[in-house]
Amino acid sequence: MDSYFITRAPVRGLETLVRGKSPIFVIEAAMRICGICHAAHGIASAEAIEDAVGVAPPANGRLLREVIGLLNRVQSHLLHLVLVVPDIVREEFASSLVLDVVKLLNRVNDVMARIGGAPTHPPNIVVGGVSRAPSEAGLREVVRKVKEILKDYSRIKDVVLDEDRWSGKAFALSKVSVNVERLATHPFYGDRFNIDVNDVVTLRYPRFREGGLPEVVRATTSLVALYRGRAVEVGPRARLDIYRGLVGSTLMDLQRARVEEVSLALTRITELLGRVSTGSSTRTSGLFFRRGAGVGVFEAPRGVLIHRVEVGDEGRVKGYRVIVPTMFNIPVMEAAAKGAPVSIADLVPRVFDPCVPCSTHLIEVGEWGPR
Amino acid sequence: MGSKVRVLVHDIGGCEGCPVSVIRALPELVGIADVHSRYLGNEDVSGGVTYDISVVTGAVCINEPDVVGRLKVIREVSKVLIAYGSCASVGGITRFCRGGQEPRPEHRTYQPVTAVVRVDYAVPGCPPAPTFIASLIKSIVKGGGYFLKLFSAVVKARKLSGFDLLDDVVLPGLCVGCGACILSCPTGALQMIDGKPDLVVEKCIRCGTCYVRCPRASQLLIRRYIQLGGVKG
Repeated sequence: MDSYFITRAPVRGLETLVRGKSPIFVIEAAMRICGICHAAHGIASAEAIEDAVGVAPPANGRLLREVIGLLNRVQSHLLHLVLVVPDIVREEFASSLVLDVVKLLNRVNDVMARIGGAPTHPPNIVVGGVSRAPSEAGLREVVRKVKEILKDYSRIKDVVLDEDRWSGKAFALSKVSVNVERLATHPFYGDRFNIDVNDVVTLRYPRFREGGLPEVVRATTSLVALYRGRAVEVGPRARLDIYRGLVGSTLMDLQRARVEEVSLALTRITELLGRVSTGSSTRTSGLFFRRGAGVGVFEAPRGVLIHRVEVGDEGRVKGYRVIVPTMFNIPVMEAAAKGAPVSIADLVPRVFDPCVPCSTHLIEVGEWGPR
Repeated sequence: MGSKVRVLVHDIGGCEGCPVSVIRALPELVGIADVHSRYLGNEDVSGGVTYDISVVTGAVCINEPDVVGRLKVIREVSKVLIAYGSCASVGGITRFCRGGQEPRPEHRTYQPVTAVVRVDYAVPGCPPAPTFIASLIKSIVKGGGYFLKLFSAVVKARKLSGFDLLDDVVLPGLCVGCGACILSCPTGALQMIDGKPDLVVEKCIRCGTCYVRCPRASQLLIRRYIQLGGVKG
């Protein structure tokens, strides 16, 4: 038996869309690659442009940007819980839990609106930093809210991790292991110096899996990324493994890592906000665009996200490349699905939380034939 | 209406930000609607199931016959079709698409849902505020209201941007400087200069939010497309 990860979402083509545009437009466009990882794309894009033109955000801007990125991580992980709870938690607990998670997500969105400027596609992410800082009072209010969210999240976490409430599928997931090398660049933000981006290659699916592929597989709309010629797992488990020594190779361990990351992110947000000084600037001044090439690496909710930009003489984009974490995880998901019973084959890729504009268009994994 | 309305939420080719904004409104919606979505694992767009209201998000990739076919099926099985969000209603960021990207360089032509099938209401926003969908569904069930007129006018407009706001409201001197457009802009592309809105052109993603939020422009839309039956100007 074989498994294929196929995506059907049309390619809107951000990389070609931004050619000839001002970097100011590029950040807005990049955020609209994904309505879930909006801030992650915005930050990776801003980092790439800053690298290309040779500027860096001031300390305050960097702190707030990390806060925005982590709020996005929490948003995304909570949304994933909405998707996965009905599968891994027994029915009698699941439906009320889903609504609790949505309500908590709405509170996180409120915080994102205050720091990022909007709950989705936060416009405060700009080249050179963050466009505005909250006031002293606003900051205190946000810290209080985040602490309350953390407290209420702990209750949700306890339910999700309570084996007495697990479904049969959760136990089945805890028996499937996947041991693939892991890659992460930073526990919370992203670091272009912890990865050699020139060692990342992306392949069209038929080149990645040669041989007689079914026609529907050949039409997949996603690329596959390899690091140093090999498949690597990226995302919550990779980050916790590399930076916290959390090791667990089952698919339920992967879910546990994601659930754990929400608490860690919320705690980190309160620490970062404590370091923001409301009086000083959040954005580089005297910015202009000039020729150069740059790389932005950010730890998106799903793992390493890479944006590469080339800016031309007139300060307009000449070339743009985006490598999203799901491209790395496709071979890992396929390996995991091959080792899993068919009864949970649909759930296996979803535990990896593949990018939703791709993943929810996913049709079949596991045995060939429509589900 | 005694029983709950059956609502489908489906993304036809967007970033998923709009469907997520509807999912966020779930606590408000559970009392009035029976929501079907991939996110809830209960979606059926095979054509065998009907819906009272379908909320379609994203733009249509004309080069992908599956996508166009699916949209037509959704139209057929839906009593009311809402093009929800900027890509579906007026094109938004997909107005900039030009194709040529791996692995499917042939995906080059994108159109809003309003240009492909008959649409009842079109709601710009990137994404529309999550609080909005519940009141919209309530108005549709009730069968009336200012918003419904406005959003059926947007169906016919098909494209709206910050430039249209300047052309139709600011330059002709209709703007009162209320600032609603500036507050509504999702990218911060509008700023107040000397009491009047001004467009940062490289930030405008053609989402049309400012135009429907402007108290003057929204009335222009209704006059043009509903009262005057589509005569421009």
